[in-house]
Parts: sequence; structure tokens; C-alpha cells
Amino acid sequence: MTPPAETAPIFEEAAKREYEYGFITDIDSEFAPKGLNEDIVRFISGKKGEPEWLLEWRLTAYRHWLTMQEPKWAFVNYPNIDFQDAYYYAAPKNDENKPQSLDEVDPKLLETYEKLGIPLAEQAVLAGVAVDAVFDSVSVATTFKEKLTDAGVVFCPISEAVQTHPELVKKYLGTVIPYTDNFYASLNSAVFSDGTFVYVPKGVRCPMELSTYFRINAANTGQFERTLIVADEGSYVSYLEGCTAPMRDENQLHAAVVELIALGDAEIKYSTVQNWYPGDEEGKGGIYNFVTKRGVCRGNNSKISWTQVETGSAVTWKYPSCVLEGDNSVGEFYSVAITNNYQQADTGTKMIHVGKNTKSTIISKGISAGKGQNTYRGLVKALAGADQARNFTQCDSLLIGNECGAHTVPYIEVSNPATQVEHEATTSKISEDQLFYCQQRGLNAEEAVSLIVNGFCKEVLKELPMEFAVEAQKLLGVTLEGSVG
Amino acid sequence: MTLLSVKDLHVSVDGKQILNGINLEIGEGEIHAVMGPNGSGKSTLSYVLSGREGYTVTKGEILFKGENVLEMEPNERAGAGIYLAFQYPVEIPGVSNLTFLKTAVNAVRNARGQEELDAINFLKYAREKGQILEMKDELLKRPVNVGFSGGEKKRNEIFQMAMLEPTLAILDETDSGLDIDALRIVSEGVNKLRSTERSMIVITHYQRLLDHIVPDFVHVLAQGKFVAEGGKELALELEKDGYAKFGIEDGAPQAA
Amino acid sequence: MSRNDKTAPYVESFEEISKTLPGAWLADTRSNAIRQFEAEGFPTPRTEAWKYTNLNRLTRAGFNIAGISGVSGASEWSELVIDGADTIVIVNGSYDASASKKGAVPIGVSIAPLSEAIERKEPSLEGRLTKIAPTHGAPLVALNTAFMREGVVLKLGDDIKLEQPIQVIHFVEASDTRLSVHPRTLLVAGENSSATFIETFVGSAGSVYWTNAVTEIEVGCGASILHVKRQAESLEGFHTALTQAKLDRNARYHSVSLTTGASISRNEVRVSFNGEGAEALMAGGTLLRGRQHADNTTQIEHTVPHTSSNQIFRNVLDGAAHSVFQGGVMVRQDAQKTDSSQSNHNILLSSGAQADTKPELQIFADDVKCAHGATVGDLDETALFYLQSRGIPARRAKALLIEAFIAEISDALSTGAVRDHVVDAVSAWMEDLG
Repeated sequence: MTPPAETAPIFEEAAKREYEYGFITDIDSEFAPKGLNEDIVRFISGKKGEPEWLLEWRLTAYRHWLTMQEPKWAFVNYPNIDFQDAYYYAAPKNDENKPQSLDEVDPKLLETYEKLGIPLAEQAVLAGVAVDAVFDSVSVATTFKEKLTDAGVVFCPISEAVQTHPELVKKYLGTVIPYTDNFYASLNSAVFSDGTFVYVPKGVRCPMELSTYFRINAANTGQFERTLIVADEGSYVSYLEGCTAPMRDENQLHAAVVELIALGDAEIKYSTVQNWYPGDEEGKGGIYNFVTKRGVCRGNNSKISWTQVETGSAVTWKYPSCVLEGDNSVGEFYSVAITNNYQQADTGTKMIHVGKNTKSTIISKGISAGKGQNTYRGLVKALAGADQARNFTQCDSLLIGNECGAHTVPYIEVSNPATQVEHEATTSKISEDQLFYCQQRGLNAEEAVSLIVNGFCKEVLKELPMEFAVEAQKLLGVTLEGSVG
Repeated sequence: MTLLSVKDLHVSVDGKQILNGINLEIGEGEIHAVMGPNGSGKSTLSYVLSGREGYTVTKGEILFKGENVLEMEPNERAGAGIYLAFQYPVEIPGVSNLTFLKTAVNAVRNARGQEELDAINFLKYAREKGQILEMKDELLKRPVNVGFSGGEKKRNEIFQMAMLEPTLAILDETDSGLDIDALRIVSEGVNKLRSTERSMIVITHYQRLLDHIVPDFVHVLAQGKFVAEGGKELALELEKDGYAKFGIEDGAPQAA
Repeated sequence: MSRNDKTAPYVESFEEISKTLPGAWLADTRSNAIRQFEAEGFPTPRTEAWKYTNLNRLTRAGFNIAGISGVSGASEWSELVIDGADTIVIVNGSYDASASKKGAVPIGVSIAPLSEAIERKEPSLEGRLTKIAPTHGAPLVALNTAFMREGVVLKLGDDIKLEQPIQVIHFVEASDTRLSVHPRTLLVAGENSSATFIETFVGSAGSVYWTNAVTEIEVGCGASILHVKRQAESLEGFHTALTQAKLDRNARYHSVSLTTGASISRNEVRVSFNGEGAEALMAGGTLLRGRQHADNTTQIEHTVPHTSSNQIFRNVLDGAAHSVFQGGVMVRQDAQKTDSSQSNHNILLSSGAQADTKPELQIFADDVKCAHGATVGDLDETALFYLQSRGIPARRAKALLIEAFIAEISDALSTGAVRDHVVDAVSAWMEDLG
């Protein structure tokens, strides 16, 4: 495999404070040849030493993908993607002999995560949070493995789980999001490189927060991670993902798939702080974030809760959803999405009420600034058998400046008379009164906007685990820098 | 020593002339009442002193501690020590009173070269100041002015004033919308904050506030100009004879 | 059946009868329209705007374009006449002069059957007829444009305040052939004029036909139009309609509709604002039972500053009925100070009923007040119990709550014959409630 000509390090750009994670780690990487065909799919599967059934599954997905069209219904505009002009696999060179402990991890990688505020040394700051670090296509380190093993919790790269827990992976992979689901989910099914696997056994309350930190580093590389979380009966797990990427002029594709399965009385809390590179002020570069996330409450009394803070990416297309199959199951979606400069986001959720007495809550806060376009798109569906289903949806949009857009597209489909579905939406701007009031109390304009925006998002931010709530608040402020004159 | 010096101030809003040559000298520790009917330009004066956008100074100057404030942003003026208690305090949903004040207090302390307060010291400080205004803890935790009664809002304004320790406080119709009890609590709070290092401009339509906050000087504003000036007895005269005595037609009665 | 198979009979009919349609000067417009219909085909759920309404049953049924018909003896429409209104009756797509009842029309007002207005080439048609409601992307409007034969042209001169309501009754009687009628209405309101205009759609019980109506409305500066629509088609019939209103400065357009009829119906209202200070209200009540399907779709374009729109839609569904609400509000970048709200509430009375709602907002201006809300649910059990505990029988209690729920629609009408007409229609529907 010939490595691509590495683009010159863009340190000048990294110095800009708009996006402080824009640096590139200079590390030897191994790439699959550019482009996509069955051989690439075989290559990726071979690299991971996968069993035959998984290769077959990938190939079926790939063949299905070839028959599909890119979806065009979202309120986002971007040039056509040339799927042959990207690398589908990139890995730090020493991945061949996978490090057995943190001591063996390339110090450059550790340094990278250090710079991102994610120290991987177990004694470091993020005590109480186990981290799986995914660098381009592979997982480079997982912390607190021992402690989790003692509790019976499986937390490892999915490539490893295929080897160590094949029966679990085989049982659940693709059962929430089949490879036929949509264009990007099919693509992911064919070429996913790594991601995280979590299994929490019956009755276990996971002793710590689990977290995966995704980092795209290599140029011209798509990232296709796949996450699978299974919470067995009566268990509980809280999981968080964070992501960043270097500042590059070309657009990079991120098409992840996340599947959550909550069995009876189980609860999964899934939080995302998405801070992929959003592109520059002219809209050049940035990540295309086309992600499929769905959870199914398979057992009675189960609960899945999504919280997302979307501040990055040039284009975001994602709808973390809940299928509420079990009676009395609960789905929640809390979202903050910010678009500034030329960012576009079309995001929301689907709540599918199947079981009796199921409940869902949707709180969405969209903030548009600059020339940003922000769309909430959501579906609430109550099937005929969903007696006593309840949904409450609150969608609020905040506009900053008069060149941005805020759109709300709720779909409500109810086939059961004993349901209650409520949807409310408002649109507002930061009033001059509020700005002046804050300034009169000593805050400068940017501090004032940041404060008001954080207040606007409060209902969502309070759902984040403590460690990340503070980070998220700062991010909101940074993302909106320069949005007021 | 002169704290604030306003000279021949002319101000227009949307091309319409509102203030037509205001002259005002305020010394340290002095309390000046500005009285006038609706539409006389009282609020404009408070906004132009605190730096609100949209108020164009067409002529004249404002010096605060000898410095030209017209060059300063509203937050810089706040840092310098100018505080405006709003006639209509603004609601900021989702932001708790405490978070808001911590941000403000530390911004102002920064501007004054003082060290920022950490969370514990800030809370101590807030509780201490809160007692002056009989502020319940619950009120401190609620979002800024959201769901506050009229009286609570005005009390919150004076509480913030206590926290930010201005050298010049402008009270813009602080009495409007207050019942007798609320008026008492608010004015007692203001009186506790009186000191030789703090001057105040008390803007009001009615005399009754000045029974509680007794001014050193009274200025009567009409059509953008001071038409009469004197001591506290001037306010009583106004109360007795009404604005008509000064050839001013009073506007619609103010909503209580 | 391919798309072509569905459109072909209409295209063939057009070749046959186009020469008999009024107005040689419209020949090009008509033939362009039929080409467009042929190219676009019937709308399908694959188009987002028709996501929830499937016209398969309509397209499979196959309809014949109604020709000129003689005077009818049927008078099933008579009970829908509004007291004190001037009425124009159109039977099977033809003007029925003997059934129509026009009082003295004030100077400055003209009311004419469309066919006559077209033949005379009335000046008020110029730049308006077929121009207010464009056919692009609207194949059913195109089909109407191709075949429009009858309807009404109402013109109000400047400052005319028309006291008596004008009611147009579209009636289709039972017949052996499955008729399709394509009525077209044009309402031009001059500066500071005002009027109440009622469109009533009704058919013989049990008859299968298709009404495909287009109504074009221009509301001049400061003018005020109340547009009431009563859709009481045969329960076997089909109804598709599009109303497009264009509002000038300070104009006021209130549209109030009550839907109880048709097997499948679609009522689309589009409003565009051409001047500041204009205001639009769209209120719609839909009462369905059996296997009825009704779709209310709106598209409001705020293009200029300082305009307001308010949408209030209430649906009550019994049996296996299906209601659709698709509310569209677009606020363009220049439309600062727009005030817009839309609300859609649905009550499901039975386990087979289905409500789909999609209140959509697209906002490109920051200084606006926009809100929307939607709910779906059943009748409030506590309220029902409360009423019963006060001695009101269950059936009556249910009716009371439904009447209260739907009252927001009649509340959009001031007191008078028109309001009574709507209230009575709601009560009549309730009579048959299980």
C-alpha cells in the first residue's frame, strides 16, 4: 500500500482560534487504495481478520448500496460526492501489532488526545470515565478495561468484539439499522472500519461513564465507524462520544452508524458533543456528517435517551431515533444544533410508538447565525397498538443576524385514538433589550450572546453528564464567535 | 469633586430630536432627581448615559470621572461605574440570576482591576447583599426576571446595583408598578446603598418616591430641557401645583 | 397502470372537446396546460406535497369531462343556501340561470358566469385568470386550466362594501356517467372594498364524480375579503381544490372552510403577500367518518415586511377516517416583522381513525414572530365525566365537547347567517354520531 502524499502541515491555520482542534498529527499511516469496490471491502475485512459471515454481510451491503441513490430531501446543499475519490481505510502504522497496554501506544497519539483534552492515562483528569479512542479508522486505546471487566461490562473496539464476543455481535449487528436502511447506512455497513462495542450484562449498572473519542486525522479519508451498544435486562449505561478533525480545505465524509438495544427494564443514555471541523468562514472545507443513529427499546419498561450538542461539521444530516417496542418504554431526544458561517444542519429525531403506554419527549434548540441554515426535522408516529402513547415536543429556534435560516418540519402520524401528541415550536431572536441589559451589567457583546444562548439551551445542556456540560457550554460560545457585530 | 458632567447635550432618536441641551453637574455622593411628564425625555437621558444603541448625540458632551463616555461601549461604562436600574427589567430565559450576576460581577471586577470572585466567595457576597433587599434564595436561582412580579423585578434591579457597586446609579422610574410595601423595600434598599462615594440620578414622574429617597437636587425636564431646578422642595411644589405651573401639559397618566 | 394510462383519457378528451370550450383566445393556454398535465401526471405520495394523500382510487375510477348540460330539476342543494345571499348555481359544470337568484347589484360590482366573461373577454380577466394560480408543479391546476368551462367572475370596484353575501353553489347530480367538473372562480377586490364570498360544493347522495376546482383571488389595497368554503360533496365523490390569494398592501383575507363531504378531498390554500400590512387568516374544520380522507394543505409566502398570517385547523375523526394537515409557512429574508402562527388540533373518536399533521416553518428573516403547534388525542375523559356527573347523557356530552373543540372555526366568523350556517352544519354532522 502506498501512502498518499501528505499535504503540508497547515500549522498557520491551526493557529486560528476559531477551531482549536484543527491541527494534524504527523504520524505514519497505512491506507487502503483510493476508491471503493469489492476488493476494498475484502481488504478492510481482511485487515480485521473477520469471520466469513461478516465479510459476506459487508459484501451484500455493498452490492445493495450500488443500487441506491443519495438522499436529497434534506434542506442541505453540497456538491456531489465522488465516492471513488476517497480512502476508505487509514490506520496508524503500528496498528499491525496492536498495543496491549497504554504504555505501548504511540506517544504521538497520546499527545494528540492530550491536546484535545482527552487524557488517556488512567490516573489523569477524566477519572470515572472510560475512553475508547478511535483515530481515523481504528481504535487506538481503551482505558479502564480491567475495572469494567470486573463488572462484566464489555467495552472494546468493535473489531475486537468480533473476535472476542462473536455471538453477541452476530446476534445484534444490523438488527436496529439494517444494511438496507438508507444510502449512508448501507455504505457504512460495507466499509465500517472500527467503532465501539458495549455490552452491559443483566442487572449491571455500568460503574462509570463510557466514552469514545473520534478523531479524523488523515487527508481524503472517510470515517465510517460503527457503534453497537446492548443493555441487557435491568442494566444501565451512560455513553458519550466526542469528535474533532483537522482543518482541511477539502470536505471529508463521516458516515457513522450507531445502534442501541435496550432490553427489559434497561436504560441507555447516549450523549454526543459533535465538534467536527465546520469549514472556514467562506464555507470551504469541513466534515459532511451523515450519520444514522437509532435505538430500540425492545423490552418493557426500557428507556433510551439521546442528548446531542452539534456545533461542528459543514453539513449535518442525522436523526437519532427511538423505536419504542416494549410496553411502558421511554424515548428522549434533547438536542442543541448551532450553525454559523456556512454551516448547514438538518437534524431531529423519530419517535416510533409501537408498545402500549410508551412515552417520548423531544426538546430541540436550533441556533442559526451567519449564513447558517438549521432545520429541525422530526417524526412522531403512534401505531394502532400504541394505546396511551404520549409525546411532547418542543422546538425552539433562535436566529442571530438576518442572513441565516431556521426551519421546522415536524411530521406527526397518529393511528391510535388513545394517544396524546403535542408539538410546540417558537422562533425568536436575541433581542436588543437583552443584549443591552447584559452589556449594561458589564458583559461585552460576545459574552452576552454566549450567556443568552446558554440560557436558551439550558433544558438540553442539563441532560449532559457533568464533565461534558461545561465543555459544551464553552463550545457554544466559541462556535458563535464573530456572529454579532 | 464632579463625578458626572453633562454639557449642552442634544440627542436624537430615529432623526427625531428628543433632548435639546441638557446641562447637569453631579458631585460625589449627591442625589439628583429628574422629574418630568411622559415623553419629556427622561428615559432617553438614562439610555444615552448608559450607552444604548440608537441614541445619537448630535451636540454636547458627557464626561464621567473626567472621561468622555460617548466613546465607550455599554459594558465599558458599566465597568467604569455607571449603573442603570431599568424601568422595564429584561427577561433572560434559562439563565439563572446567580449565573448572570457572577458573570457580570466578574466582568466588572476585571474592568476595575480587581480579582475575580470564585464560586464560594461569590455566593457569600451575593447572600450578604441579598439581605439588604430581602431577596430570597429561591429568587436568586430563578432565571433572570422570568416569572418575577413587578415588585420582584425592581427589587432585583436594586440587588444587582448592590452587587455591582457603581459610583453612579441611574434609577429609571423605579417606583412605577410598585405597591406601597414594595416601594418601601426598594427605597430602603436604595437608602442603604447611599454613600459619599455613590451618586444617583433618580428619574420619576411622581413625588412619592422622593418621600422615601430624599434628593439633594431636583431638575424638572420638559421637551428635552430642564425648565426648573432647585432643592427637594421643588418636588413638593410640583406635587401640589402639577406640571402645569411650568407651562407643561402632562401626558396621559402613568400606568401604576 | 402507468402514469400515461392514467393521464391519457384526459388528454384524449381534450383533443375531442377543446374546440367546444369557451374563449378562442385561451386556446394556447389550454393546450399548454394539458401538455403540462400530461408531463407531470397525477400527483403521487412520492411528491412531498402529496405525501399523505394517495389519489389512486380517483385515478383508477376514470371520469368523463362534463359537457354543457341542460337545466336540472334536482334541488338537493337548496338546503345549503345561505339566508340573504345572492346565489349562483352551477349544475354539473354548467350555469343554471333559472336556479340562480341575484338581487340588485350595486354599481361597481359585476358578477358573471365564467363562460360569459371569457366570451366577452372581460378586462378584469386580463393578467389574472390562469395567472394568479400558476400551473407549474400543480398538475391538477393545469388540468382545470385546460378544461375550465364554468364558474364565477366577481369584480368589486374600489371602495365597494358589498352587504349581501355572494354564494356560488356547485352541484353535481346523480348520473350514469362518472363526471368530472373543473370550475374556475376569479374574485377581484378593488381598493378598500369588502365582501363575503361563499363557495358551496355539493352532490347527489351516493353519486360518484370528481370536482377539481381552482379559485383565484386578488385582494386590493385595504380591501377585506371573507371567503367561506363549504365542502359537502357526495360521500362517494372526490374533491380537489386549490385557492390562490394574492394580497396587496393592508389587505385582509380570511378563509374559513368546513369539510364534511367527499370520499377523498384535498383543499389547498395558498396566500402570497405583495404589500406591507396585509393579514391572512385560514381557519378550517374537518369532520369525517367512515373511510373518508381529507387533506388540508396551506402554503403562505411572506415576502414583504409587516404581514401576518394565522392558521387554525381542527379535525374530528370517527370510524376509519384519515385527516391530513400540511401547513406551510415561508418567511423570506426581506419579510422582517412577520407575525405567523399555525395550529392544528385533532380528535380521534375511534380506533380506526388516523391523523397525519405536518406544520412546517421555513424562516429566513430574524426579526419575526413565528410559532406553531399541533396535537392529536382523544376527547378529554375528565371533561366527559364531569359533564356526565352533572346529568348530561354521554352522547350529548361528547357532542358538546366536539362542538366546543370546533367552535374556533365558527368563531372566525362574525354573527349572522353565514356563521349560523356553519354552526348548523356542525350540529347536523353530530346528529349521526355514534
